[in-house]
Amino acid sequence: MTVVLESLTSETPPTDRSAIVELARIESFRMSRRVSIWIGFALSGLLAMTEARNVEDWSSQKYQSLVPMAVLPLTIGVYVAGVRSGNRDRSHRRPPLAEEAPLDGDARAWARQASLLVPVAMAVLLMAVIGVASRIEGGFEVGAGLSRTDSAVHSVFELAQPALAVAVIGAAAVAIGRALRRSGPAIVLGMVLLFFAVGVYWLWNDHLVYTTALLQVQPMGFDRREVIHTPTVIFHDLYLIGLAALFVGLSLRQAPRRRLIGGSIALAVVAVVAQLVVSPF
Amino acid sequence: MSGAAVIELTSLSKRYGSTPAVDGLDWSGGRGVIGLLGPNGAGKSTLLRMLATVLAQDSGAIRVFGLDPAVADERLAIRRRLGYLPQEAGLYRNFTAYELVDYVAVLKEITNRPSRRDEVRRVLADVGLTDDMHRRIRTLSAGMQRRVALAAALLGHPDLLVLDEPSAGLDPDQRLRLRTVLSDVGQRATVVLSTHQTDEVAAFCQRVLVLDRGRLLFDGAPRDLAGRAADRVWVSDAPDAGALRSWVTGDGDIRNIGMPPPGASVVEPTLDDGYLLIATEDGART
Repeated sequence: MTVVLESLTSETPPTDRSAIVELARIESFRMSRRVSIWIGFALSGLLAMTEARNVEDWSSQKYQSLVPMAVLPLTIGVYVAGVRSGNRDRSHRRPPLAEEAPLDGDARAWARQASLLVPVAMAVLLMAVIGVASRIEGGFEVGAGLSRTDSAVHSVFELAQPALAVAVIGAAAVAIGRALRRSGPAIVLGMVLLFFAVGVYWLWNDHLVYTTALLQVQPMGFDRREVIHTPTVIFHDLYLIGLAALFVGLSLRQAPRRRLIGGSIALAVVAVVAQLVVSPF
Repeated sequence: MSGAAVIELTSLSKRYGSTPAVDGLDWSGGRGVIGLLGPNGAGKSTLLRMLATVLAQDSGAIRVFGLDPAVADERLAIRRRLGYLPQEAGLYRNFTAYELVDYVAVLKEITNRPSRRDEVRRVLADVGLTDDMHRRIRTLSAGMQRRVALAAALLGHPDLLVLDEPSAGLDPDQRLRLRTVLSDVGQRATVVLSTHQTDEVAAFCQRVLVLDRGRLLFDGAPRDLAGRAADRVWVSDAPDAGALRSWVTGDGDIRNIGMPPPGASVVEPTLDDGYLLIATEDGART
């Protein structure tokens, strides 16, 4: 029988947070080099310019379509990049890289989620350009008759929605990538769903559904009334924050997974109810 | 071999379905290079995965550095002193060799950038990849990819290095380099490696274990394993029906192990002979 001479104290320092921050920095750098992100960003810019130059068929058309069209390709690019990033330790039927390292799968998931700040910043940039350019140009035509205006501009809260939507889609993509062994089918299915969630934005502008849309398109019009309603937009932004936190929670396997999922669902539900309460419809 | 136990296994068992992969193993080991021999399916990789804290046992106990990998805090403490090379390393194919080893260095909490850069370059040099460190993993040969994974395992001067067939896919020159590196590491740390190469065990392992069907058949110095076949190996012109095993050597002679007949031309046993004798006798018993 051998006597154990080498022994450590049971007071082991927890996982080094500076290592997770450093990993997030590396993941962000890699995210910034993803081709799909840059293709999405370029196409988003192109679509925004095309949409801005279009002649409107009806009042409010450009106001409604510009923001969703300007972010659709970027959301698809972020989704592809997010799934691939989240799937890195799951593919090829191999064990995760350095499975024995102190930074486990959850630490890596946090870092990958943090790297989504890169495409979120891209979305913020796109929306900032739209916000500034539309104000310089004098705004958009919205409404009809006495309530018509040709100087409507998107509020900060409306412009925040695409950036938050990118965060939601990215967080969901990382969670999906971590959950699945094969990323290919998830990528194809996700792209189709994104087309319906963002590209066919008017589907989500109906009664009740607008509270849970990925992009809530203003002005909302029911019963011949068209209203840009900022309080509803603010609560919808909160709903998106809840949704992003929910997917971050789903991408984890250990604490604080349950707390994050519970808290984010509560926030999302409260935000949906708040929209129904404050909405004029 | 140091007397201080770095690893202690007590009645350790692991099954896959009804098949025992590790079957009631009792063993302890300290500093030095320990070779693990055994046929495919002997339980070597399962044992190494348990030592590397990535697989839990069904029953029995493991202590590494006196700590229990089943306890989260203690597992983390073990992992901070551990390097592991699995059979399939799961390398990220779009990373360069440098980027990948750097990434693993961060996973091992080496956060200071200048020292991390030096450490990454050191381990890549140790495995002879300095000139190819900026090539993407997917463009490297299987042997080079194996060396990248080995470099990642060597990061941070681990006190316990667990290597599953480290020489698989390496050319003779690289094998020689590997022996040198592992012998150096074995001076100050514990290295446990599985291999099918008995010459490798003879060359630089201070201790050898023979596993079969999850059971420990031999534990001792390589020369003692060869010694098990003393007076049990003979050469002949034709296969000997009384031998446990017979095979043709490169010289065209027939080499036999078992109980030599009277007048047989008994020869000096090798590690191969000892290993084959133990494995064959165990197979005959069961």
